[in-house]
Amino acid sequence: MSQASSESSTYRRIRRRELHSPRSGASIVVASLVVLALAYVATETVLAIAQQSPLLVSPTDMGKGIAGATSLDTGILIAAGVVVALIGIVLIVIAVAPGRRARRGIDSERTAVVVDNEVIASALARHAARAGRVSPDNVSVSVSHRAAVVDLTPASGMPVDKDAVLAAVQAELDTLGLAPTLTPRVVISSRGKVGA
Amino acid sequence: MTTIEARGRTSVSAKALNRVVAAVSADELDVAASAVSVDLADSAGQLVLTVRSPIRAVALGRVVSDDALVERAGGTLLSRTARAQDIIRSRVNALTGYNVERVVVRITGVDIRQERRVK
Repeated sequence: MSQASSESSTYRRIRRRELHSPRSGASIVVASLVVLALAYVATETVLAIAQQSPLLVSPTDMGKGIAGATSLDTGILIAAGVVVALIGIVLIVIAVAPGRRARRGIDSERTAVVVDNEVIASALARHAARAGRVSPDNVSVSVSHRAAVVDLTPASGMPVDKDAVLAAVQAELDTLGLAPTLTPRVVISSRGKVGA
Repeated sequence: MTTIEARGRTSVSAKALNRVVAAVSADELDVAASAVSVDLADSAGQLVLTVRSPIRAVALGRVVSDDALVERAGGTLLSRTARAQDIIRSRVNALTGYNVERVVVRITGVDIRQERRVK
């Protein structure tokens, strides 16, 4: 029993890892920049203690420069502020946003199953084309986190039964058993294609 | 149409449709299919056919001398063209399965042939 529950928690963790983007890229970049900056400050400090000439600026000049930043031109200060604020906002968004990948899980008791949205879209497109009696070339499906939008271009003079397409797409979604579920929407193009 | 699900899908390409319309029109207007040019267009998902073709007619001199000739030849050019529109629409639908919303027939010329005695 405990074995089974630990397995399911493992699968849950694996699924979560597959469904969400890791922030390792952003973390590594930020950490590397901080490490470089600190290494530079440390080098300057050691040089100042050893009373050698500084590489760029000595630590005391650095402090004075930061304290006297207000004496700089306002335009430069505003520009620098905007850049720093933008970097901060981007980092916060990366950290807080759900970081979902374009894939989703399929309910399974025995294993963790993850499917790309594109795969689901192409499965839905095949069923929609068959139900709408149009060529598979004239169906395009886009799958987002909550919705699947089926775009269908009918052949001129061959009206498409929208309800039948919707029913076929819904039936396919039901058999897939996706989590989270998708809400299908069928859009039939007002312009047809001759002989398609 | 209800059992079509089990049979799959049949599609008639634009080129084939073009030839079918040309043949049907040529048949109806009594000219060679090669003289007929067909334009296929879409109007809000509906099929619109434009047919440009000559029409076969009897010589004007004979019409003057024989009152019943126009009736015998199938009516006036306008009435024959109007009938051809309906027949093209229904026959193309029967042959290809496409619903034809509109048929535009442009008569581009007259193919005059002598009426002959049936042998």
